[in-house]
Amino acid sequence: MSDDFAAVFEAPVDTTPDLDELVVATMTWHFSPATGSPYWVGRAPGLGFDPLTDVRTYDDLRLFDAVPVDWSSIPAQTLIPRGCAGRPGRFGVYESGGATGAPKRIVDATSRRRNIEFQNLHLDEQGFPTGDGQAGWLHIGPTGPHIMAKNIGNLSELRGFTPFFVDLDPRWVRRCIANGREDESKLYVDHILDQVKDVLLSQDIRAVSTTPRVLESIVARHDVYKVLGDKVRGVIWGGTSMDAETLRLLEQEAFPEATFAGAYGNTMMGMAPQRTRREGDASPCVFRPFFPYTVMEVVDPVETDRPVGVDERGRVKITSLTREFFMPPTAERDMVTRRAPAAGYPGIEVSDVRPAEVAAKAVIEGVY
Amino acid sequence: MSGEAPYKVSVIRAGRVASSAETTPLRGVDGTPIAEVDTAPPLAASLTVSELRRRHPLGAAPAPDPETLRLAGRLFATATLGGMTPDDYCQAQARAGGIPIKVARHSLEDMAATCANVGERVAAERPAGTAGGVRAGEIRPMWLRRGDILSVIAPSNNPGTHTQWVHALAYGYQLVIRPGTRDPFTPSRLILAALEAGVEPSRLSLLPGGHATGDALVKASDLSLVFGGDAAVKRYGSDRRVILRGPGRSKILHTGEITERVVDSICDSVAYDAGLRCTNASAVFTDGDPAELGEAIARRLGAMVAAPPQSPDAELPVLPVEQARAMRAHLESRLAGAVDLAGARHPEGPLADLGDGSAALRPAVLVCDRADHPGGRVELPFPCVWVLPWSRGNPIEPLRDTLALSVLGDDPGLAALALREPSIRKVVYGGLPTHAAGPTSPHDGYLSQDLMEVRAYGIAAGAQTAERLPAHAGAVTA
Repeated sequence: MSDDFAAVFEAPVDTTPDLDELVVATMTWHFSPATGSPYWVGRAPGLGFDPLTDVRTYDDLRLFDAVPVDWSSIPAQTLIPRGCAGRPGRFGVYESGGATGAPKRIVDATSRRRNIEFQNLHLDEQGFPTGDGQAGWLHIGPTGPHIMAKNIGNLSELRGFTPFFVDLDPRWVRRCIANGREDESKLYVDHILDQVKDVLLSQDIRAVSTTPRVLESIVARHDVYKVLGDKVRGVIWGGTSMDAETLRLLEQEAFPEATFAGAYGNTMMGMAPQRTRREGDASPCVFRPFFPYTVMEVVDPVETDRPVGVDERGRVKITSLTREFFMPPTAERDMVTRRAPAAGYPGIEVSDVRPAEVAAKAVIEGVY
Repeated sequence: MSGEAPYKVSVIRAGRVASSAETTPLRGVDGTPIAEVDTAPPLAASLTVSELRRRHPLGAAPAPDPETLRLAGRLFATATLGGMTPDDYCQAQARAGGIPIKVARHSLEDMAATCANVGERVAAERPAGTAGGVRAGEIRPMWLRRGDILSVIAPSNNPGTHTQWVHALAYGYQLVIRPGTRDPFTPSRLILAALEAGVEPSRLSLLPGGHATGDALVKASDLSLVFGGDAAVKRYGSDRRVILRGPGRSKILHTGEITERVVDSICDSVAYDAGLRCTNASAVFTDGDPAELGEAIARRLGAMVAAPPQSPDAELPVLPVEQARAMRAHLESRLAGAVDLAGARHPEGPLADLGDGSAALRPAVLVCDRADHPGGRVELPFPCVWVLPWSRGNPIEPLRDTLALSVLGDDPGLAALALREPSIRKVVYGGLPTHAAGPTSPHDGYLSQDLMEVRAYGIAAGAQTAERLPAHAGAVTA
């Protein structure tokens, strides 16, 4: 099934193809009528430039700055490249959590699995446990329309685990909080933890993937904490940010028997695994995007075409370049610290992920 | 705005000074660094409380005795604790909170006095029938704790608020304090003093952190003492395990002539400790002319000195300029026709720019034309008082929801009437300021009303009795 582009699109995940070659391959694949998606091929005439000839390097992708893309309203099937017909894998549609408005949709068949293989290489390096075909892996997080369930299915398979799922609907949690229904979100968390306990009591669970908030909630629920603490030897956390002290307490105090690995990702950018710690790291958890298939830049929050320097904070800007999905450079909501890549890694690395700060503080009456 | 912070405030977990991978710089109101404050995330709250429960470290150890707490108070007032002398502490507390340093200075002795008085106070709060204990052949009331772990979500407005939880130690509680953002110094100092005095370490924890840490702590603890405004009331009001210390809305009722003594009492009530206490009056109701009384108050308060908080002359609260402007703008938005006879008329305006990035809030005296003007419920953290008309036709309704009420004038019947209103938590009469308190008088009810309860214990005649009840049962012995 290989073609002229296999050397860049399907290069072994521990090698790094040339970024500009990947850009050219992506343009050729997605904008040629024979192989491209109905969406991108359909938009090509109105772009004001020709992606097939005018975009030869990563920097040329700036031409897309003037091309607005509303990922929440595109009919998802039109994102599937025609050239993928007959290739291995079945396409699915995956949705973002909708934190910043209506959910965005992407399509994926096999590209994200390569991203998970990349993550798996890091887990090997970090001594993350394997399931030996026996143990269970419990994912407590978004499933349903979200790509996490597929990612965890792939990751647990690669590591020899059987996956179990307890679904967490992030949109419902967000709605409860937005409406000031904290009682309801607490009820929901307890509902989830009851299900977690049920799985833990009857199944041989040795690895868990979930959010920092769920881990905190588990520690606060003695009945669940005790059984998880006894069983779990590996924890993948992601989905939301975590401060350094919470991570330290989780690793050293709450679950001292478990190996922890962070994963920074979302629907649009894919998964950036935690890079293995090195002496002198400025942060306990540095994330490494899957370069060059996901190109991350860190830019000024307002002037989003101005990159920030190493160790400076800025907003992430993501480009997705795979055979199955193309997203031009897009500023996302997260704020991160840009880090110099370790050991000559060709992409950038980031740490200290936080959602973009929202300002404005009202005066509160009273003396307290 | 640069340079090393001279102090560090550490997390304390079960009496152990710990560190955190997250710290927050605490700056003075003028922007100078004062301290690096270790931050405890919500997880630290859950882990600390579960450690307290797991260790059951109290065993049969009794609650700290009054002498230990007296010593703690003495150390608070005099010792070098955590690398800070008493004067270092006062400086840091004043500069971070923008609170005149004379407040912290007298708080040293106030704290010592509170701690020295714990024995007398516990005796006063104890239900008389529980004093004797239970012997074989008796079924009697015991005075017992309602839980073991008490969290305190503390404010930053005045060091005196921390006198309120000292008594919980005497009742045998294990305390976990979440300090206010701007004053981690006072609870840190009090905890270090208590540890040095010999209080069993697991009884004392300090977890600086944000709202989420407070929430996790409230969730994990048996009971919580929460200081806060209307937002805290909304957040925790329905939780029966939460003891709320909400807005004070302290008031004065004045009838009769406007004398120097009346104006003295009012101004003392409004402006003591820079108007930052919940027992500072924020409204004055008068059967005289509100404008005339307002003028007299404004003249007196107008003399209060605006100076940097660390200055011994300072009498007014200080905020970073932007926050001071926002506070004043908020007041303007709440005027609803009321007229400020003080700050707004000051030749330099209601804010005193101190030239270092901070500004003092000059007093505001707001004259209203009706008793139900909404200003009567607006309490702001500086000397800010609303003067409203009052008449005997509707005597009590305007005075409801009041932490401390001072009745001025010559009608003790009004004071007696006010005492019958349960939402008025303290009444003083005859010229006492609203912040006046006796050695055993309750602040907002006794804390023991929420921390303790009576339960029954009976022993058959001739039965073998244990030497002593296990301390975790929470008996406070006479």
